[in-house]
Amino acid sequence: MDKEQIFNEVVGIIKDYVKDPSRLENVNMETSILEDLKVNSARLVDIIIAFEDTFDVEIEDDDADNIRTIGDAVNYIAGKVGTDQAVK
Amino acid sequence: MGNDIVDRRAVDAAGKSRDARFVRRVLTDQEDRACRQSVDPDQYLWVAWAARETAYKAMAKSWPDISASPRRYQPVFDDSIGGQNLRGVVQTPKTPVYILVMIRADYIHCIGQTRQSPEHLVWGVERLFAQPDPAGNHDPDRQSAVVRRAAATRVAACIKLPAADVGIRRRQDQVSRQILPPGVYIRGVYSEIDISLSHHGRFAAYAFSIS
Repeated sequence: MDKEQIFNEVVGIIKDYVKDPSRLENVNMETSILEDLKVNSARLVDIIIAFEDTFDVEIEDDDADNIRTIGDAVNYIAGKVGTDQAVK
Repeated sequence: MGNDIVDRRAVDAAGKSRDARFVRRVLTDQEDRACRQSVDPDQYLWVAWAARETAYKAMAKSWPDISASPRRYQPVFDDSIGGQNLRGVVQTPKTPVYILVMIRADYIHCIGQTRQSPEHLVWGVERLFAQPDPAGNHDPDRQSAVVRRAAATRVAACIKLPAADVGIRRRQDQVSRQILPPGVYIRGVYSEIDISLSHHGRFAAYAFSIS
C-alpha cells in the first residue's frame, strides 16, 4: 500500500465524521482534522480506533496525540505499514 | 480557562460507555472499572470526558502544543457539595485545573480554570435544537455562530455595552499561523477577556472571566 492509497483510505475514514461535506473538497496533507474539518475531539478518538482496524496497526496514546492533520495520520500509518512513497 | 459540554442524548454520546475501546482510550484502568460498576456508566464517562476536555482547553491557551491525550489528564472529584454539581481538580501535564461540573438530565457541562475554583466565572448554556439529530448532523457552523452571539451578548451585558459592540472570533498566530482559541473583541479591538466556547448536539455553552 503506497502513501496515496493510505491518504485515500484515511480521508475515506474521516469523511464519516465530517458533518459538512464541503469541508472535504480541498482536503490535503496539511488539513487539520479538528480545525479544518470540524471533527470534535471525541470523534477523533473514534477515528484513531478506525485507523487501527483499517490498517491493522496499534496506535499508542502518545502517537495518537501527534495525529492532528491528515498528513500526520498518513505519514504515521505509512511508517507502521512500511512505505515511504510520497503522496502525489 | 476552559469549558466543555456533552449532549447526553446525542447519537454519538448515548450508550458510548459500551464502546470498550473508546472507554479504554479515555479513562484510566481504575476509572474504567468504576465506570462499568457505575449505576450510570454513560454519565460517568462523559463527566470524566468533559473534565479532561475542559482542562485541556484551559492548558492549551498557554501551551498550544500540550498533550491532548485524555489519559494524561486525571480528574479527581469532590462530591461534598452534593446535588447536581461536582467540584474537582484535573491534574494535567502542566498545572492543575480546578473544575465545576454541572450534571443535568440533558447535558453535562464543565467549566474550569487554573489557580482557583471556577465558581466566579460567568457561564451559560444555550439549547439550539429541540430534538437530537438521529444522524448526528447538527451543523457545527450554526452551533458556533449561535454560541458566539450568545456569549458576546452576555459579555456586553456584564461590561454594560451594547451587544453590537462585542464580537467573538478566532485569531491566527502571525508567526506560527496556528489557529488560536476564540477571543473577545470590543469595538473591533482584541480584549484580554478570557473566554471558552463549546458545542455538542443540541447545546452550546460558554464561560468567561472578567477580572
